[in-house]
Amino acid sequence: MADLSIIGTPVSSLGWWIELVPDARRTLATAHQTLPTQYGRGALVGGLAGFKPRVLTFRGGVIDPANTTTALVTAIERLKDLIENSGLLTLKWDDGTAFLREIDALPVELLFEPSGHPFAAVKETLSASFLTMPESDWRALAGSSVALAAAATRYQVPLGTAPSPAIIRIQAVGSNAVNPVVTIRDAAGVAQITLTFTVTLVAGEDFLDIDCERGVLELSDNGVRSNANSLLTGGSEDFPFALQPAWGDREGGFWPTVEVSAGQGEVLYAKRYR
Amino acid sequence: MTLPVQDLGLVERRSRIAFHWAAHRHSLISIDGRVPTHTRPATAAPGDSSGVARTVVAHQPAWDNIDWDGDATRDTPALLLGPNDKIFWAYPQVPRLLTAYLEFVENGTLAIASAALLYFGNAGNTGARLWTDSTGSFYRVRHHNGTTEVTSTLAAAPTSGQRVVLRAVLFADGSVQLHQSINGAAETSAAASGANTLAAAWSDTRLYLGTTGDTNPGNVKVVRARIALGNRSAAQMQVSW
Repeated sequence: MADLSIIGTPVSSLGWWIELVPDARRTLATAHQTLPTQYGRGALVGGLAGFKPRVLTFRGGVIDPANTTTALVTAIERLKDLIENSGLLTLKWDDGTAFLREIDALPVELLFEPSGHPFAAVKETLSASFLTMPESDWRALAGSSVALAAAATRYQVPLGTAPSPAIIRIQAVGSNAVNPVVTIRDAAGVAQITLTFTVTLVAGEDFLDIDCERGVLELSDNGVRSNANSLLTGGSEDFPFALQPAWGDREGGFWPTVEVSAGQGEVLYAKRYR
Repeated sequence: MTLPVQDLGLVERRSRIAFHWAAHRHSLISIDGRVPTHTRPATAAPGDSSGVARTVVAHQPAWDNIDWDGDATRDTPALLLGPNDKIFWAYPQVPRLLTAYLEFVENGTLAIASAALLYFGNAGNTGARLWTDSTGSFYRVRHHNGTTEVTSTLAAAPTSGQRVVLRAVLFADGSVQLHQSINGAAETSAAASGANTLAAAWSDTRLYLGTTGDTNPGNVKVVRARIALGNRSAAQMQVSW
């Protein structure tokens, strides 16, 4: 039984039984600008012309065990309160597997309609639509982490089916890390992103955050955080970035890799799914 | 006619209970955006999703991926709070009927007498305060109103590595009661304490995890902390934000 949780509350516990999610697995519809080829018999993609934001619609019956009109109205009011007054919602999708995903969204419409024969059950059907924002991809409910336990060593970062922005954190352990370079390679070993920092990270004290979730660079100098934009002296045109599944081979189980030239580190991220 | 600008106040993320923090997004910031103060003047050694240990340096949050659901996959992030960590969020609530819910992996706090898990109060561990800590053998909840203290102590204890949920209730008459679930089993409950008049305010508007302010550090991997007003059941606290 698939269930939806809104900011942590399963909607089935409020009497809404999801029966239909027509677009949960639907990918975004995109439109591309196209150019004719030299002889006019083909097309070249000139850029992304636009895409429709993802709107998820959940449809199902609203019922209360008391099976009275009063109880039904109460259930409807609880659902309206939860959905309309909780700000930016986190929707969790549970289809009975261990593959739990969540997405942030704003409610755009709640449509209640009479449903079923009144003698059989006091019931209405709710169709609730949500505009997903700011991301349009599902996110694994639990975050993942990869230790960059040694310098100059490639570590695989397993991904989902959509690009994942990550926090790459570099620190010096044992000895100072001087001018660390972060390299993201595809599964074949070809460098896709190279970020060069001009900084000395003091062993045991300093760490550098390359936060592609928020698009910020920060240095923690023994607990005191500061803007680290000026420390990025090479590759700034590539920041921020997302780790691309296309840099790996999902079928073969090979993934893009992250390495640091000096110091150690970690990659913190959540797998994303189309 | 020009229509007024739409109020976008509800576009922000909100929590509809008094406090909710979870480790699942690798962020110290609570669900509704409260930024904590975190310090750790020492290194720590958490594990990643594959179980590979790494060293994190001073003041760097130690995210430790654990197997919470017993399927051999380390898919649940937890915040490792060791003997040198100190973290607190603003908690602008007065003493009143509430339920404090904490999910964690036992990592050594139990064996340290007075080591704390969750604490409302000031840095000095004085005055009116509420906290869960260890007797050295069992977990307990303690309510001190600035003059008198009452406690509720469990009779069962987890072993290292077990998944623990503690649900502490502060009642309107100032009595306290602690409930515990280990590895997803049904709750067991300690006897409720006697009544203890509520103070007008806690000794500070701070909520700590892993210490009683500046003292009594434990060693714990915290998955989720929730504070809800009212006497909430385990089922409610598992799902409600």
